[in-house]
This record gives sequence, C-alpha cells and structure tokens, in this order.
Amino acid sequence: MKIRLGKTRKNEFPFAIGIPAIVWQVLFFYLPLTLLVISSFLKFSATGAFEGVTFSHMKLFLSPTYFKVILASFFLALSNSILCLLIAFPLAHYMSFAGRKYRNVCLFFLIVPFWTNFLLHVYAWFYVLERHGFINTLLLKLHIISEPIQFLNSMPAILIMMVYYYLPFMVLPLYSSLERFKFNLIEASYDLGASFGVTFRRILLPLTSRGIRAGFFLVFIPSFGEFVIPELMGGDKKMFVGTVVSQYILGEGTGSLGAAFTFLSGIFLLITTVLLYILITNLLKPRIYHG
Amino acid sequence: MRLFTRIGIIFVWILLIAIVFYFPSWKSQILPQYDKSLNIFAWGDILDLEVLKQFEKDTGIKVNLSFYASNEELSVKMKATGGEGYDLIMPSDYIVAQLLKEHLLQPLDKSQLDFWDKLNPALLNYAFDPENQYSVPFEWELFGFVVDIPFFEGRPLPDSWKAIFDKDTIDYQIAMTNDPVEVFQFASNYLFGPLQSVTEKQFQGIRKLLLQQRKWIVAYSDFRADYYIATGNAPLAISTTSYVKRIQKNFPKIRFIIPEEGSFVTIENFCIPKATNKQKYVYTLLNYLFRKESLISHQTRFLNLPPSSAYLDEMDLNSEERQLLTMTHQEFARFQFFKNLVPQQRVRDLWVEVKSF
Amino acid sequence: MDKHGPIRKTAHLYLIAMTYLFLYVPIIVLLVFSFNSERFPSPWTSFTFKWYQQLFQSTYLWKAFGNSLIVAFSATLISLFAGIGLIFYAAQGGRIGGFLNLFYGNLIIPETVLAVSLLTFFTTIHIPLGITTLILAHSVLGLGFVVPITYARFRELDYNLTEASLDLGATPLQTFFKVTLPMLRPSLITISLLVFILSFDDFILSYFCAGSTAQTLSLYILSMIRTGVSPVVNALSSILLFLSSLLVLIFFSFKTRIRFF
Repeated sequence: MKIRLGKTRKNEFPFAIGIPAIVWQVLFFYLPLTLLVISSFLKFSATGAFEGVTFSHMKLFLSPTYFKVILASFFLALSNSILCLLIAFPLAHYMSFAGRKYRNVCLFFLIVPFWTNFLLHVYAWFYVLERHGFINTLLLKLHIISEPIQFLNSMPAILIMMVYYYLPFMVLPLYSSLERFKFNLIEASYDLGASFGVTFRRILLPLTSRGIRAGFFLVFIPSFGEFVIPELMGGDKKMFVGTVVSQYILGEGTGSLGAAFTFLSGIFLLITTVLLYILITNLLKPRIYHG
Repeated sequence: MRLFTRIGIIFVWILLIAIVFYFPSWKSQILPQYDKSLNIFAWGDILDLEVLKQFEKDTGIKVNLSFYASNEELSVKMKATGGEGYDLIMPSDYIVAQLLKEHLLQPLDKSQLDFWDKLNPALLNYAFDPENQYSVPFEWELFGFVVDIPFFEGRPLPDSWKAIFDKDTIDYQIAMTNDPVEVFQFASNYLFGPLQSVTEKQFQGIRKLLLQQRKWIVAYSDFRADYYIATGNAPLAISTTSYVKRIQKNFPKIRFIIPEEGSFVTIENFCIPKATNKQKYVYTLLNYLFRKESLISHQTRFLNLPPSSAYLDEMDLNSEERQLLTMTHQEFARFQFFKNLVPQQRVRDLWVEVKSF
Repeated sequence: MDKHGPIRKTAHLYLIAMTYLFLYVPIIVLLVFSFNSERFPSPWTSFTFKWYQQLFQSTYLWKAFGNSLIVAFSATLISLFAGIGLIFYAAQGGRIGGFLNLFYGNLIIPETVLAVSLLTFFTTIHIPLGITTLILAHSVLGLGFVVPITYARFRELDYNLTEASLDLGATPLQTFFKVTLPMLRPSLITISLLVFILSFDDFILSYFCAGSTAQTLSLYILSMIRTGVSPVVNALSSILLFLSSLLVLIFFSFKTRIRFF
C-alpha cells in the first residue's frame, strides 16, 4: 500500500531528508560489520603493519579450548532462554487476561527494573546471595542451615542474574502475542471435553508461537554474547565468547584475532539460531491430525 | 540523471558526517597552543584529584584525567592512536619497554625536572629503561598475600608460595589475581624459580599446576581482595601493597605477607608520548606532583609506596614499609619484574584453557 | 471441563507473586542498606544519610552522569530525526519497503559484535574515540528501534485524514507537519523514551567505544563494583531507581496500545 500525499515530487528534497537514516545505518552498522569480517582474515605484524591475508586466525580458534568457550556460551544462552520462557509464560498469561488495572500495575513493576542500569542489579544480587547476604542471614536465623551456603562465584549465580536481566525481553513479546489471543478458544476447547494439558499443547502454544519465538531469540542471541554477568557473578572463573572477544579486541596487537573469533562465534550463533528456529517451529506446530 | 543527484546527496551527507566526527582531532592538531590543558591517561586511584584540582587553580592548566583498567588497554590505545590525544601516560615497567620498542615515547628533559635527586635510587636504572631516559617512577607495589589472621589462628601463617599452589597443604579457598602474565609467572617462579624463558616441558608443568589450582580458587580478581576476605569467601588473596593498606583501615585483622622465596614488583612510571607538544605543561605538572606536599598527600590518600624516600618521617608508615622504602638497589634485587617468558599468544591460549569448562 | 481450575489458578497466582518477589527482593535489600551506617557485609546497624552525602559530593560521578545524559540525549535526537526524515520521504511517495529490512540487523546481532565492529571501524579510519563516537554508536542502536516501529505506526495511520488535508489545499509539506507528525506523536515520544533509557543504561557499547575521555555512568558503576562494594553505589541505585520509575510513569501516560511486535 503506497501512501501518496501528492504527485511524485520532481525535486529530490524528500530524498535528501530521508536518506541520512539509511546512510547512517549502512555506514555505521553494515560497513563496520563487513570490516570486521574482512579483518578476521588479515594478518598484522606486532607493530601494526599489514602483512597479508591469512587463515591462521581461524585455525587458531578452531582448537578444542576455544570451541569449549563457544559451547559454554551456547549452553548458557540456551538454558537462560528456556528458564526465561518457563518463568515468563505464566506471567504473560496472567497479564493478558487480568483486568486493565492489574495489567498496567504488572507491566509497570516489570519495566522499572528493566529501565534501571543492569549493573546496579548485579550489585543488588551481591547483597542477596553473599555469604552474609540476605538469603543466608535469613536461613541461618531460621536455623535451616548452620553454615552459610556459597551461592556466588558459581554457575547458578550467573544463571539467576541472566534470567533476572533477560526476563522482560521474554515477557513483553509473549504478552504482546497473548494479548491478541482469543480466549474463547480455550473455553470452546474445554466445552468440547479437552483437558488442560491438551488445550495447552494443541491450542495455546501453537497460536502464540510467534510471540514465543520472538521472545526466545530476543533472549538467546544477546545471551550468547554476554560476558559481564559471568565475570561479576561467576568470579571470572569461566570464559565465554564475550570474555575472549574483549580480551583480544582490547588487547595489544590482537585486534584482528578478536575480529576472527567474533566472526567464528557469529557463524556458530547463526547456525544454531537457524537450527533452533526450525526446532521450535516444529515443536509448536499445530497438529491437526494426531499422528 | 536522477540517480546522479541521489548519489550526490549521499556523498554530501557522508562528508558532513565525516566533518563532524573528525573535527575534534583537527581542532587539537591545528590549535594546540590555544588549548591550555593536559590529557593524562593513568590507572584509577593513583592520582590525587585534590592535588590536581589545586594544580589547576595554581597554574590555570586544565587537567583531563582518563583511566584505563589494564596495561594492555594502555598499550593498544597508544598503538592505535600513535599516542595522539595523550600528553602524559603512566605505564608499568614492562610496558615502558614495549612502548620504547614502538618508538612511542619522547625522552625526558631532566633539566626541567627539579626533583630527580630526591628519587629513591632503588627504583631507577633497571633494564626496561636504563638510566631512566624516558620514564620517571611515581609509585611502586609489591605482590604478596593478603591474609585473614583469625582464620589462620593456631596454624602457621602462609609465608611461601606453597600456600597457593601446594595441593597437599591447602584446605581453604583463595582469590587469585586476574592477569595471565602475573599468574603465569607466579606459577613458573614456584615450580622453577626465576627464569628468562620457559621450555616446552616447563610450560606443560605450569599448565598442569594452573589447571589443578582451579579447585581452590573462589574467584579471579585484581581489585576485590578485601571484599573476598571481608565476606568470608577466601582467607587468602593475592594482592599488592597499596591495596592491603587500604583494606587494613576497614578490616584491621588483615596482614600482608611477602613470600619468603621472593616476590614481584611493579613500578608505575610517568612517560611522555612522542606525539604531544605540550611538554611545557607536562613538566610543570610533574614538578608539581613530586613536591613534598603532593607526595605526602598521595601517600596518605592511597597508602602507596612513594617514589621518593626524602620525606619518610612526615608520612604515616609502619615499620615494614619503612624497611621497604629504605632498601638499597641490591636488596631490591630479590624482587622480580614481570616479563614475557613465552610468546604472548601461548599465555593467552593457556589462560582461556584455565578458564574453560 | 477444567477440573483443577481453582488449584491451577492459585498455583498461577503463587507463581506470579514469586516472580515479582524474585524481581524486587534484591532491589529492596539494596535500598534498605543504602541507609545502613556500616558497609557490607555488616548487618543493619543504624540509619544514616552519609552515603547519599558522599554520593552528591563525588565530582567524578556527576561528570559520568552528565556524559551519559549528553550521549543519551544526542543519540535519541539523532535516531529520532533520522527516523522522521525517513518517514517524510515515505510520506512523499518514496519507496522504502525493502530498505526497512536493513534496520532489523540490530536485533540479529549481539551487542558485543556491534561494539567490536564499531571499535575496529573507528580505529581503522582513525576517528578519535570519545563522546562523539559513543553518540554515534548509541544512535545506531537507537535507529534499529526507531525506524521499524515508527514506520509500522506510520503505515497504520488513517489515510483519510491526510487525504482530507490535501483536499483542503494544504501542501504535502504542511500536511506532514500539521497532520502526520502530530498523529505519530505519542508513538514518537514513547519510542524516544525507550531509546533514551537504552542508551543511558547501555554498558557494552560504552565499554568498547568510549575511548579515554568519555566516562559514562555505566562504566563508572562498573569500576566501583570491580573494586569492591560501597554503599555509595546503593545510594546511587536508589536514586536511579526513583528516576527510572518517573520515566516509566511518563511512558505509561503516553502509552496507547503499543505493539512491541
């Protein structure tokens, strides 16, 4: 549908006004990305002189050590996405059929932490999870434990923080999708004798699959590159893709190495994203005939 | 015809954008003498802001201070910009050597500096800059153990590198430094003593040790030793002298112990990048910073080890520090500087391996 | 019939409550301890405002805060004007359709990759890193939101109004400014708020692209966290939380059935 507010203008004034957005995007998004890919294959001497095209960076990173790092990021992103989905779905569901007032209240309290600097939230969790923090003090006072439990500087702490941060990214698309959902379909399903499980699997899930997919990948893709949370919550004991990248990019003379590793992990991310997309679409497909 | 107009418009926009973004660098290139300011690139928590503010008031020279978090960051930024944009930097000892190799520093005109004779001679004339033609030390630190005394009640205090590497005697968690070069050398020193370079067999030994060490490490961190001790996470952390002193103010039950086999030292130096032409302001600032009042102020605020031993009586130091500050050049020899024992890439790869699943 | 309906409903509500508890316990603990007279890990000792005082006296904090504000404002304005410009072109009959897909790239690429490629780009073409590069980076982020969402809203506009305006003799330019833009205004305001917050709280782009002269609030907080735990950060958190709540309230007051996707 083309919107014409007048005859197609003879002068190029609108074009001149409209093109900077595209110029900006190409110049500062796609050009740098291309540069990144290209520099992954370039070799520079220690003093920065250009030496030639090479695959040695790639060979370097196709070793088990670095591949383990990429896998670590993958599993972190995957578990984070799944956990977020499990927690976000009930919440989004509630928000979508609750009354308008409750809905806005829920949204408000969801967005406020979302709109506060996330580093402060990491910091807040120190207070809660530390050995003398909120949880341990509570458990000790209630005599449930006798020694403080070590929560921090471990994988669970990392995951808790990741879910905490990425939850709104999952809730909002789900809510968006559920908002448009016709709930009388559920009623109809019950009237026809279906149980909760069947209704859930055959009606609710397939019809909200768009929102589920959107939310899943909105969490999965950024989680893959996450490195600050693992550093602060995990005691910097494990490296993830982002950690390695920042080490090489901000390191001396290793810029093209950093680019190469970014490129490699980017490819891996792309492949896994496509595979996961296909998997999820198939899982959520409405099955008309019980096969 | 229309296509050409459009391409032309695109070009104009690109030009405009370029002008906006290159303008700051042109401005400082064309009008340096109008810019009465200095850009300093240093560690956080090394320069006393009060002293700098006073300097601005006294001389009218504005000081822009920026921080880097690692020596590598300083190194790569220096190389990326050719040192442009900075008038004074503060590299550690081995970085000075690297920057010199890249010809990024200009020699110091010592006639302009009025404090040279008061500098602690034990800090001068080392291999990274013989005769200190390019660098002047401002602060130095020793590495050692930060120990939570109550935890070690009834047992010998850790005073050897065994306390962090020997699996048979360690039954506690530790906080390790987060720098691959440092960690590698600690391990190498523990296994083989001071070396100039490492053979493949030795490298594998170091690798095994570091992988094994992970079992009792609660975290790798450069600047949070006090936090891990105070929260009871680890009774022993590797850290440096100035850090410890600062912690001791808040947590008095902490002691700093230098392992008996010897330890490592870093000296933070001021250097002038070759690209700057504000030397006059830089020398004014340096002279200001090395004045007695400034050194005392820095020592009081950051509890670091000062570069000059001329004013020791007016500083609040304990006996250990006094001893360190009056060491001779020879006594200083039992401390090593950090160096690259193997090609950087091998250390990096090892570091990733140590930190992977 | 859903036999377990009531039980399920209670379980459901319980889950929701737990989720919000999960979200807010850390925040509340943080707020409470910002008034504690002792540092962490001491337990609650006595009430004090001293950390807030220390906070307000810290010049570095204000400089970082100011930088973050400047960057956020500039980035938002740039994305906004670029986006409006694009809409203007579309309104005058230009065809954008295909080009719109360019702007979805932001969602597909992790922010780290964007930051790294921008850093490589800047150092390659020798742009000095600083506030300007940061503004540039954040505006790229902002464009990825402004353009798709505003264009979608633009397409949803009631064409009758613009047609009526033209029929009444207004030029296309006047129509755009007096009819189209005002109709888009709520959407533009909400999206600007979103971009502003995104930029203000952003950390990864600042970490890589800020250079030496630009210290943003996120980087400042990071350096404080990396060096330990200080109640000054608590004080800062409570103030920022308060400001965020205000912004969210403003956002809600303009909210008109915003569709995120």
